[in-house]
Amino acid sequence: MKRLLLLLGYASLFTALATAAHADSAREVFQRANQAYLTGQYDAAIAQYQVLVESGVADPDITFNLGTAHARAGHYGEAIRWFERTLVLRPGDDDAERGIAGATSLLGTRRAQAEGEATVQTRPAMFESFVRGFSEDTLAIATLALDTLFFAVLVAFFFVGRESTRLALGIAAPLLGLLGIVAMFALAQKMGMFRDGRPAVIVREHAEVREGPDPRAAERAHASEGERAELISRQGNYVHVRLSGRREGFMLVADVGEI
Amino acid sequence: MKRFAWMVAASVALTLSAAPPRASAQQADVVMSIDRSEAGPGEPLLLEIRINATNGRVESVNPPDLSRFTILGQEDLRPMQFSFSFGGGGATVAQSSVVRRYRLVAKALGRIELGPARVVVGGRTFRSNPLSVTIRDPSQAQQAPTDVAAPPTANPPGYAPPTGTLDGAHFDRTAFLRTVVDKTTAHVGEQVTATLYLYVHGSLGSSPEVSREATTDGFWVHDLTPRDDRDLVTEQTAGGIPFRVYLLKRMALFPLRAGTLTIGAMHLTAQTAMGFDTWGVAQPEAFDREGVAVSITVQDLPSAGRPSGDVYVGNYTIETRLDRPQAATGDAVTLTCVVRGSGNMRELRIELPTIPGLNILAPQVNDEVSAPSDLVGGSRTFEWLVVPQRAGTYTIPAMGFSVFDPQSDSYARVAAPALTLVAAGNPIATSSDAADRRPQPATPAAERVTFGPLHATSEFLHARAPLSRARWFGLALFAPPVIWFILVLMRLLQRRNRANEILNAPKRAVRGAKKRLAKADSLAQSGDARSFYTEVARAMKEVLEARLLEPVGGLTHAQLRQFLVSRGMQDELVVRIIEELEGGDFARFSSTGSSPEEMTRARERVEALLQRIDKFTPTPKDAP
Repeated sequence: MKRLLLLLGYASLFTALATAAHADSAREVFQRANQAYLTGQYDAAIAQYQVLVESGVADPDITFNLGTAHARAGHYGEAIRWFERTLVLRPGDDDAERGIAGATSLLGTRRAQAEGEATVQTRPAMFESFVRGFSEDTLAIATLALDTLFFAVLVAFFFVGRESTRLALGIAAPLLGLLGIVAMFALAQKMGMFRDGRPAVIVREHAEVREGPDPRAAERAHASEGERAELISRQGNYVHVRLSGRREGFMLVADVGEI
Repeated sequence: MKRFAWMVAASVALTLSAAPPRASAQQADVVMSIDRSEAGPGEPLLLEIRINATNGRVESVNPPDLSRFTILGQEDLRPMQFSFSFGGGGATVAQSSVVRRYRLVAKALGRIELGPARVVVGGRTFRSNPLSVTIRDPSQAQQAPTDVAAPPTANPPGYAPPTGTLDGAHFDRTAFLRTVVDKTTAHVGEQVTATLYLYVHGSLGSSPEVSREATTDGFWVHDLTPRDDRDLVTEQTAGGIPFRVYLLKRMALFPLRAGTLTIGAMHLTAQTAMGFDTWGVAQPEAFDREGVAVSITVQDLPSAGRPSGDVYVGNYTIETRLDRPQAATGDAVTLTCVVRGSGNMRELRIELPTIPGLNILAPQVNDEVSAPSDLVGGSRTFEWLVVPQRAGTYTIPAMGFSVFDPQSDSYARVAAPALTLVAAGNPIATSSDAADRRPQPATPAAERVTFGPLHATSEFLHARAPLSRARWFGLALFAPPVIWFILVLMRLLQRRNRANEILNAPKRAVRGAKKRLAKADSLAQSGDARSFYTEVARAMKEVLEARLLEPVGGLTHAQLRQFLVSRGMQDELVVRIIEELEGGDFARFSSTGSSPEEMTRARERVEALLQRIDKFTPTPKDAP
């Protein structure tokens, strides 16, 4: 028994040390990235932040800094992608919201200068903007709580004999039911049940949308930088995407950034 | 009377003998046919001799020499035989049909000539047409496919399939699919025209349902199927059998890569139409058929003499123009470039070089694709807005591209002459160079938009699955409705049990009363009058309570009387109940007691009363 406890102790110590070492190295990379950003070396900062993201860190502070570095480097599509990712990790982040608005505005300016005119989508759909402020966990807890409350009220309504109490329960039940349905729909929206693919952003201006996953396949349409897309599947160096306006086709992996 | 009958019979006989039927001369059509003109060794053949005879009986049918065949079977059919006469002494016509069928198997390979069959009708001999049949070696049959031919009377439209060797199809006597391509070898980007036909012996009864389209992976496809239905059907003979040929699909295919590309086999289901032939009514027949995949060998463009840069396959001309040769600085001038010709227009790209002093915006591209004579082409128009930034004379260089002509197997350069634009006026400021559309470092405009501030700390959180994706979440979501359902079910069952209890209360009370009366019997035998009457009174009250669903134990006799009357009990029954209860009380408290006989009588009365109480249905308590 003593041996077992000793072993467990060693294991815990080892895990704690490994975690601390990882955190230390991650912190170093993060500080190097911030340093590069502050000295105007945006590409170097992006590379460092990218190391953290690729190592599995999914922290809104890092994705926000990555988005900011991309924005400073003029990669507005990438900036929008990482700000969106920040909002997924920390819904309602004002800095990220401002970042998206700024990057979208600059994209529009640049496009207008190049093409004479530009149209950019700045506001998401109504229900999407309603859901945007809540995290998936918040909506899941709300759904569960409202579900439990609704049925508890129904049970009480069935068993309570006092008329005044029954009246109160009768008013509360439909309200709770309605709120529960709204929360459930919001959760489904957040989970992407109404989408065909994973959310993504186009990161290259005038990116080709082809009929097939082949560079020689005919071009079907073009996608604008910063445009939202749904990523349906991947085939080699191409991804099958769906864009607004019923546009669908294959784009280079490098042209599309998954949120 | 007898004499009159004889006279009538004689006159009828005279009339008939005076006007004999004027029978015409015997005639007969004898047609000999065989179900196919070619067969493999051992394949059964169906030889048919059909005789349509007029005014004569078919006396004998002599087939041609069948010594080179083994006769597997023979049958005679008489599908039609009737006669009719024209009235008023007209001619009597008798018609009959006889069909003789032989099932044969050839004994040897080679061509077998069959002479005419001879048929004797009414003493006259008639001959059929001769026939020939070829028995082929299976290996040779594979090398020599069935021939197809257009009927001499048919005027084949432009969409008719080619005649000659039947390629791109698996021949079938009822129906088959055929894929025809105009060439089996092509260069990348060169048009290949493919047509899919459905051959049907007879005609289609319904539109075919395509269960699998012909795949065209590796091609850019332009549909050429004619819109006019009249062009879609023609006639051809294949393997000696007449077919209607339906054009299902026609398409121009432009190979996108070198190698062997395949036009996949189409699969469809359809049904032949009900029709009439010389044998009678042909029933509709459903069928499903699979076509033949056709491979196209696609070659890269020849490397010898290939110019650098993009090369487009086809025949093109190019034309460029400016909407005006002079403009003020800041005014937009439209530069138009129109490319016309045949080929895969949608591939065409024309890039303009950067010209210092000119802001050239991204072009608008418009296509007009057409396919005259099934050759895909048309025009692609590029329109650029060109804005001079400062005064000067600008030369827009010659626009053009390299082409490869597959007909002559040679390369050429197609180009339009250079254009000159003269701009006058004051220079205008610009914030960006439109020609460079790559992402650029932050512009002054970008500096005005604030990003950040940078987050100096991070918790380095790792990705974790959200709560809603956890397995328990779904269970937790379903638990409240399930618990609610179970509770409601239990509650309902409980209520049902209670209701059953109330409904069964009178029965239970009657059973209890009977027990009490039985006990009272034993008390009567033992002479215990006090206990006897107590039991009897209890039995009555319990049955009353169960019936009325109200306690009556605490009521005086007067109150009980009033209560029973108020619940609708007959006065007579009420009086008897009260009397019995009063009698019991009297006997219980009497010093002399009661005799056993008296108690037995009391018990019988009470038993009768209990039966009546049990049948009594009280009115509701609040009823008037």
